[in-house]
Amino acid sequence: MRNYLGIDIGSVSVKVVVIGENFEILEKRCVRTKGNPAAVARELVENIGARFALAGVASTGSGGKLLKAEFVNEIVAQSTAVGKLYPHIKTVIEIGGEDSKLLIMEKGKLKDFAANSVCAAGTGSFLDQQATRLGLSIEEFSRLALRSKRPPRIAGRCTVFAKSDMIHLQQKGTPDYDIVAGLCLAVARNFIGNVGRGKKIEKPVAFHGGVAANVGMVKAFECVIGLADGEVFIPEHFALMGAIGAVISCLENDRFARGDKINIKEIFIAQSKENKSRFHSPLGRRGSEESSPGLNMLPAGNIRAYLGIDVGSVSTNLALLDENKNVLVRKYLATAGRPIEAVKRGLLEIKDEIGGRVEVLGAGTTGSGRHMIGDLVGADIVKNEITAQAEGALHFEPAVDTIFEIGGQDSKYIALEKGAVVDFAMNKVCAAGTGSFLEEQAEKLGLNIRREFAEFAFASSSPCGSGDRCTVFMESELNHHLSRGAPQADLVAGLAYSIVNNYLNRVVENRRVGENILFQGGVAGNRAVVAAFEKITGKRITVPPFHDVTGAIGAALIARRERNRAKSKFKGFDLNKVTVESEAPVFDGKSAAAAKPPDLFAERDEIIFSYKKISGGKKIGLPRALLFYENFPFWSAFFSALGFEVVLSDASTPELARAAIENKAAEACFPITLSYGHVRDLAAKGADLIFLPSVIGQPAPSSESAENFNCPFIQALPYFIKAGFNHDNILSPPLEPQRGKAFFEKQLINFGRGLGKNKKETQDAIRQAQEKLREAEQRIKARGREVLKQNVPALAIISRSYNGSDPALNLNIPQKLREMGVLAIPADYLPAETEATAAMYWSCGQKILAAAKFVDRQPALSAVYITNFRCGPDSFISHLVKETITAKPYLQIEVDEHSSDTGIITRLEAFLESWQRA
Amino acid sequence: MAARLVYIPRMCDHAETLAAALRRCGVPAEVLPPTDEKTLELGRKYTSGKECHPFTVTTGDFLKKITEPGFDPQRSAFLMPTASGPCRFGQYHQTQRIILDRLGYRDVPIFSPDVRDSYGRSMGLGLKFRRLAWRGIVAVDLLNELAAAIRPDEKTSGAADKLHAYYLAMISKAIEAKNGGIFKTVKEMKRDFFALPRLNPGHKPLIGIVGEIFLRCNPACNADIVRKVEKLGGRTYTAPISEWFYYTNLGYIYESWLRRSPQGFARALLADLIQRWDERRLGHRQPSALKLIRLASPYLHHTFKGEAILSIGKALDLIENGAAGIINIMPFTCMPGTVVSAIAKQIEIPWLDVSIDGTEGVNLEIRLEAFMHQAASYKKSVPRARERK
Repeated sequence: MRNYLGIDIGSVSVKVVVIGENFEILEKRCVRTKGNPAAVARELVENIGARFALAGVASTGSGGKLLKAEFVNEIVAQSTAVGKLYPHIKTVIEIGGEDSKLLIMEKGKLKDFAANSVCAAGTGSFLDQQATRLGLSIEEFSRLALRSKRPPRIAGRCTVFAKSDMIHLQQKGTPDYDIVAGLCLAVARNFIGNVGRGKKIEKPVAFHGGVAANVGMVKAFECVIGLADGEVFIPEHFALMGAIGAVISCLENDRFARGDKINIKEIFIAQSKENKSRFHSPLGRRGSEESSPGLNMLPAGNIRAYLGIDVGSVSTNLALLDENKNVLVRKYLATAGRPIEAVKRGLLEIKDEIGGRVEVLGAGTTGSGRHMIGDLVGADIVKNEITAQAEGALHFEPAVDTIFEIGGQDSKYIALEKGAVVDFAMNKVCAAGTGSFLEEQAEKLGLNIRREFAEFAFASSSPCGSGDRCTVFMESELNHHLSRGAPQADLVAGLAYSIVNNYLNRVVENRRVGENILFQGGVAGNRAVVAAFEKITGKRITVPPFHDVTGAIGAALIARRERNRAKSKFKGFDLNKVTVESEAPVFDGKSAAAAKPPDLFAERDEIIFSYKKISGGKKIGLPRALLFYENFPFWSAFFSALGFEVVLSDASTPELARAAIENKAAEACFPITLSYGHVRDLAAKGADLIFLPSVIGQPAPSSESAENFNCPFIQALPYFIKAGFNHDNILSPPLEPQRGKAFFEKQLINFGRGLGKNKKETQDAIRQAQEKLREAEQRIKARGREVLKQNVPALAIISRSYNGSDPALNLNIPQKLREMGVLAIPADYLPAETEATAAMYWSCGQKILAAAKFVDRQPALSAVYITNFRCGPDSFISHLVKETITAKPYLQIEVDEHSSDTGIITRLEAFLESWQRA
Repeated sequence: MAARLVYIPRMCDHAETLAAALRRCGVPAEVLPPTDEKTLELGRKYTSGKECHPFTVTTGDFLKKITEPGFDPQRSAFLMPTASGPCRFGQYHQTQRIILDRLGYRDVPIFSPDVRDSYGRSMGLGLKFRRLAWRGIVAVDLLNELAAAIRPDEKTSGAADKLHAYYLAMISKAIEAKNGGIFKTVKEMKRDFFALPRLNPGHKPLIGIVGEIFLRCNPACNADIVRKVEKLGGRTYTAPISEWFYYTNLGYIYESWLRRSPQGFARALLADLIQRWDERRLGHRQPSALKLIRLASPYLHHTFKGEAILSIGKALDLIENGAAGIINIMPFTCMPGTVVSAIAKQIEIPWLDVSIDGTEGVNLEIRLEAFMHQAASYKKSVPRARERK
């Protein structure tokens, strides 16, 4: 009797299976690792070794090499198992705790594969976390998803984005079952888009890994791939396929020893030593223990007070201050996805303590849920969290010059001079370096964040380096150390360093770190993080009393300062008696009813995209994307003159964006990805031909320079599209306008010949096209002059035309500014002269820098610089913009598939506040 | 500038011979110390993290040197070549200038030979330097190819590496010496490598390594991909550094022709001929840049300039010559590299994109193992050199 043990050591759980001679499964187990895969694996193997005589042990998984067994790579193991047991399967989706994989099978053999590489989105742990966040078991989570009829859209590109989307949905009051279904769909879409990346998913499809137990996920995959109900095949041992495959692979390749029984002791190996260079120095002890903040004694009799409420994604804080700014009561509650509940509870608690004796003279709200809660409680003032945090800090330390604030989902950096905010930054698209991250990781290590974290961290003599990039990277570094069996204390201390490094490098960046530093937010209570801050900055860090409610204190102080009515609008401590009416949104106290400035972006769209449609000819499709946002007048006139019927794709919508993400063939920037959706739209509109030129450069502003390139992604547009999209009639001539008029004309004449047009016809068309383009450009410039003449304070959107104008790329920033009563000006409305220099060889960069220069010199103007994640040129241009706009603050916003109204409005508001004060 | 010590980024082994060529021409030069954790720490501190990884690494290496005790701003300079787009590389030296200025090192120059004349006026040193540098580059390309070809089959573990280290020093010495001797050195190098005892030579699956030039030849920054492949039972061929110079020569020839500049055209053509002749004398061979562009043309038009077309062309050439798999190395968010990875979806061969951001992940290992598994079965299924489609 020969039995074999297959063991799959993952980062979240260890799966074992004992397979008998006739391929029968004799035993199976699945145990969570809780951060200690080596010990769990050892225990399991010893336990099984005591009960079975084993002829061989095959291991797989990320921790498979912790044992001296026959190791099989997990992709090989998974594909071997499915190839042997279910040879008809053509596609395998495998989602485990930390990894996901896509296997393409052909006749039972692995043909192609993809694994999540730098991104951990769409994994089991992510779903686990979200279930915990919603207070659901994973089983409930899974069942709940099936109840949803209208799942909302949740970004799935990165765990962090999805999470913040989810929080915002909760704040809007979306039911849990819809959110759960939305999450499942996001994970499925993310998997197809990011792991699959254009690989064809052929039926039959199998679903492996622990997540296959989640019926909500199964349904989501059926929906996203377009399969019938029940068409996704779940193997009986879906979670054990790796372990089973490892055994099969070893048997097939004759890797097991001859004997009937091996000595189980031999497979345990000493945990490998780590490379010393990846370690930090020990944290040491923080000299002074944090003094525990004492609340002021409650005075007897009636109290006149100010209330501040800070509604964050993770915590909801309330503070009650007396007329002399003393903190009387503070409440720190978990938001738990239900901000209204949290606020109601907090207010009731205050009521129970002293409610009867308090007269509220003013109430202020802040935080991401400030508008909704402001309406709910009857706030007198609604303020963004930057201003509120600064106010709170100044109260404790009037000389403060730097604030580090790390909360649950957000982190902020604020620089002050003489009590005024002069610069600030918030974590951009990612939540690395936030409290949630620490909490999740501590949980994974089985630690209590409040009690044990710091203790463990201080015990470490060589904290592990955990990287300092986004949460996802940190997480995989941590997993890496875990799978090598690093001691817990070192990991914990390493995390403290990570969060600080990440915060300093990603949020603070090159900004000034002063001498009088306050550290606020929930994470400031973690002494290990404070110590890491002091170690890294080499400066003294002060944690103010009530560090976790400084935002709420700030809101109360602002309500006090700006009190302008005899009686507060505050509706009282018991909100159960209050009904919520929906009101027009109020932006930081200003009424939205004021006269709105003109919508220049709508006007610009009108100028660029209106054209005379000539019916009857062959239909040629032009995508409403990328450079067409500038030169559509040229191409529409060109093709119309040649007798084509021009078809324009619709403006981007969330649906179009989703289709685009599912069809993309590579990890390019979002604008490129979006163009897949536009090409699809054109095909759906019945275009006979689709025009996607490879435009190498732009006509040089001076005749001297030939280096006036488009970025490589723009140049490669047709190559990207052809790799992800089958359309027989894509026209993609390489065009080089940067080489001068004559050259470009020759290229177009050649192109025209291919379309059956002679030289004269094409030349005519070029003339008409140039005429149209000139006309559009003149209209734009004329309107620009008109607007600028009025000399009103305005914000120029100094981005590429598509980043500023495409509704999927601009997060409606121009429209939001307009709602706030601020005029937004497209970059090409500015009379800014571009200069081509050898140093700035990108045309887009020349334009952005010219606009930046203009803005810097105009006292009435500042700028919003909209850029994209993965934008190559902007990663350098942004350094130059910073060097250019020195006279005033400007706002840089990085846009992605992720879109969050609440987040953007906060940033715009806080920016407007600091711009007006500057 | 004569008195300044020029620091060269340790991009690859070729940096050593470049330094030797500079010294031979009277310019004090030194290769920067190896890239390490300190490099990344400094690099990340002064960059936004969104630039490409080689930028972070070279910036970090510059800053590490600057913060070393004894660094003399008055007597030092850095070397950072440039290009005029379309990828980000041409931005490096400018942004590094900004960073050095902000830190108060205005007087430390950054020398930047330019791609537009195919590095013709390299720092005013003229033809002699260019030719010496070229011979060094080709000799090291050959050295690396020999080591990569022989090492996987060597009988005595470590023998090829030992020879590699020895000859890298010898090549630099020959470049720097007044009486030369590079041709003799290379001849002996070949003889010694082929004399190493081997087991079953040439049977392991051949993995072609293409991609971004800084990372693909830089084991300290590319997760030591060559050794990893070898450990998993493969052998490698990495696209040589000299490939890029033939491409820029061709670009210079083409541009001179378009601009009707007979002078530039003649100069470029002559330089290219001399370089080819030198390469042949050193006994190194590679497909011409024109051939690579032709191979890539079904996928990518030559107007799309930069490394991408070379990566696709070289990959196809390697497949034609029996490669069982291709690894495309690129910095995280690399633009040309991303274009290559999109196009690769249309090429039938085990293909692995490796994007590098300076963190060590478990994932690469897993993907590499599965990739090698695929390559081994691909080799079995395509026994002879395959026909190009």
